[in-house]
Amino acid sequence: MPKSKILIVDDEPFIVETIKFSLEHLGFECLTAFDGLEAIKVAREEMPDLILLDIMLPKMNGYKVCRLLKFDDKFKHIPIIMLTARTQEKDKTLGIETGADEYVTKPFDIDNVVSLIKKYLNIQS
Amino acid sequence: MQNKIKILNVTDGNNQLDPLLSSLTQNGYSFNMAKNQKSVIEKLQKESFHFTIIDSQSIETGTLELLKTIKKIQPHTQVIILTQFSSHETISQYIKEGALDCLYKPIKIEELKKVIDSTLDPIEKTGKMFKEKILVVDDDKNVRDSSSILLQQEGFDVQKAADGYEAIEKIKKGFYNLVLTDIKMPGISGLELMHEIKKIAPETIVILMTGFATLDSAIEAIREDAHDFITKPFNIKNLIASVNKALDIQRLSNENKRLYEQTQKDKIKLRKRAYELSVLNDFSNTINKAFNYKTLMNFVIDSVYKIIECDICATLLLESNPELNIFANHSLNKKKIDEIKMIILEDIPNTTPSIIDKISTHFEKVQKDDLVKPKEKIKTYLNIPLIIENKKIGAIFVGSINKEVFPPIERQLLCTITNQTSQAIVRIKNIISEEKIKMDAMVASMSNGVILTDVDNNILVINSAAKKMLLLKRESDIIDIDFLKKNRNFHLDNYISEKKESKKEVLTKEVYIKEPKESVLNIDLTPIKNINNKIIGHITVLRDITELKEIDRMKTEFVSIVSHEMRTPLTSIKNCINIILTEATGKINENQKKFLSMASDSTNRMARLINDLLDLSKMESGRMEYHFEKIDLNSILESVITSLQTQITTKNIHITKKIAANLPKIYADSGKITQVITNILDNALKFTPSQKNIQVGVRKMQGENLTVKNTTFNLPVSVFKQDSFVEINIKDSGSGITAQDMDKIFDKFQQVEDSLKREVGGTGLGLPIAKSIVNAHNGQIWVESKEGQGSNFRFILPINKRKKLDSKES
Repeated sequence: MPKSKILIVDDEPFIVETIKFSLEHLGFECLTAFDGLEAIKVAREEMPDLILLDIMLPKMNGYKVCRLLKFDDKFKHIPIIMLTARTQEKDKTLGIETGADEYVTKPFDIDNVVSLIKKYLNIQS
Repeated sequence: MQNKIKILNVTDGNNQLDPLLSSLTQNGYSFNMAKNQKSVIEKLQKESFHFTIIDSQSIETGTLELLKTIKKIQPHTQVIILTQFSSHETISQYIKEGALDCLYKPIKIEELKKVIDSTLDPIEKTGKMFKEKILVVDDDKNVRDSSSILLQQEGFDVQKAADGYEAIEKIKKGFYNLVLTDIKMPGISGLELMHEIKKIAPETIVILMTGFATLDSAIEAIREDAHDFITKPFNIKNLIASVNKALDIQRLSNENKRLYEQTQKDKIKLRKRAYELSVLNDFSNTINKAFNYKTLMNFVIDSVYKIIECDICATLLLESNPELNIFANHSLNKKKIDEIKMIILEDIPNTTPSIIDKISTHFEKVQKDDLVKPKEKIKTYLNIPLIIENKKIGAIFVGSINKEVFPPIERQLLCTITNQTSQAIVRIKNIISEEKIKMDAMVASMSNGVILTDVDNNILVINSAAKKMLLLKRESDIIDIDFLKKNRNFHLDNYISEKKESKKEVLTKEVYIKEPKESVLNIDLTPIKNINNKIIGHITVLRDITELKEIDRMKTEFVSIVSHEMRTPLTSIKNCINIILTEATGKINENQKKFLSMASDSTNRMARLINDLLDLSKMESGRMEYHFEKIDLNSILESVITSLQTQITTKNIHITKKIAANLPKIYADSGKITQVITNILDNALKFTPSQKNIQVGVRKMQGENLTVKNTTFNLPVSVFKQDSFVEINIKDSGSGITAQDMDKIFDKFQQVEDSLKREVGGTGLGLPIAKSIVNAHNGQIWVESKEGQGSNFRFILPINKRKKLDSKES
């Protein structure tokens, strides 16, 4: 079974790096992006199996990234898990409405994120 | 011999009084006349007069001046003033200056005589000493004549009678001080005559004349009632001595009787006077305590009705709310009341019809001792105006059905009362105007806006702060409710009707003003009630909270940004710790593991604190959103217990669940209720020592009255009467909470006992958040606890969507 490719998008390098480390440790292949435009670019080029997407991103915010991908037939199958520090209900609603599959509030337990990834990639733990 | 009663008559001679006065001369009065002030002074300096009668119309100088002059020269002369038009005011002034009385023309001689007599001593009244009358009765002409002559020489008025019949005739016609009678007479005997005399004129003294033959019967007669007896033939000395002695006794007895009667009269007068004085004293004391017109006038009518002998008493005051009070000892119909009203108003000039229409009338039937036939007309009345600053503003009226006239003493009393009442009105007027000045100054200088409206929603007062808040020019005086509605989006009438519909005492509201500048006003609208609890207007207090709102918004935003900014580094820290702890970077030893676990716990706590802060800030600003749906409390409880399983297992705590079988689903926000239960259970776990119990119960309330003790709120018990609530309670085995702490634990950052705080490590925000959520569900949360016996947190939630509870807590 080929390694699942996870795209991690966050403008905070520490977060990207720690998630990347944890996921790679668990045997995932990780791609990274640090702003919205880069996220689109990497997603199109690499076709990841799942995207962890921060909302507050430079250049293009996470909602827009999510919407662009989800409206594109080529990419809409990719599960998107939104990561955010904002907890307002309307953020949550907006995240789901733009097509995001899941929503995780910072600071999150990496274990929770991992189990969500496994759920969407249909991996039995 | 007595002096004649001397009277000085001050008149120009044209008052037609002379014939009247001359009729008095026959009664032993002597008159002297003076035509002007100069002659009055001359005459008064020459001789003293008992009375001076002034005809106020026929002299050039002022009557009051003359009265003062007379009283200066001869303080003892009694002055009687004759008048035709003088007002009661003027009369009261005369009486104050010492006049005996004022009489209205035309003068009746009886009236004048009555006034004069009232001051005279009874002996003076008779004008001269009477000659005492003696009747001599004897069938022997010699005896009759000789004794008559003897007695006449002694200065007595002597009459003779030849027998008992004649004597009785004479005694029936006129009074005799003494009867001297023979015992043995033809026809009627002396004894029989004596008995007859005692019947006709008991006062008359009887002295019997007797020869030896009748001495026995004379002695018998003395035993019965005869005063004395003289034996015939009598010597002169004995006769005179006996008569004089008898008459002396009679005089003394008469004088004694007169004095006794006088004393009795005086006593009654004194008692009446004392009563009047005590009522007057009460009156003076009490009217000074009256701080409004109504109390004052009620008291005035009460006192007047008590003091003055009258059948009808009325007070009218035209100040502020014109009011006519009437007391009577009989029923009065509307016509009669209107009559009295007209009598009173006639005396008050320039009363506009609009004021007359405004007069409210109160009639009361107050029983007095004497019963009066209801239909009788008022024979006489006094109507004394209440005068302030030369303006008549009301009156005190007394009317009598029986009396011919109110005596001077009552007039004087009424004048005194009227004067005091006027003074009291002035005092109250001053108080009111002072209060108004104070109030105006207070309202004007308030930084809060104040708008006072009457019952018809007319703006009565609007202070400068309110004008400023409503962006009105200070000079613009005509500000009505419609202007504010159209131009300022300030719908005061709507707010007032909203207040009327709500049961709250004060309506608090935020009003957004758009034009010409955006601002937010907080208004507190309170009705003003009069003493009868009737709403007479509303007072609206305005506060400009535009800045406050802005600051609050900024605070919320600040909290939100700060929390957001804190989450990001916290995520990194958490991830880093996790990576090392899971030994993804290589094996770590036990100490490293222990300390990293501590770091991990701390980051979790910090994350929770940030979440709680954010939640609370949202709740406070009312921006927390709720998603109501039918939820199952049982499954929520299960999930909460599962999420806290680590703690439960670690501390080895036993959780007892008591879930009612027929528990209905409730209409609530599942996430928020989860949060409430989590917060409370989390607390319970923290405070319960290892291996102890926590009881969790959920049940439907069964139409019970829930008595809530030691709670942080004051809720009427009846609210819980219905079956429409479920109750959740979580009882721990912790240290309990003291009564004083119970009030605080639902406040922000309150934790009982600071030492525990560090140990158990809560954010201190869990309970305030729980309370806020429960309140948002229109439920209530409280705690029951005793120190050392654990705490029982209970909260109730409505099963269905319902209106907010009428609770004092927000």
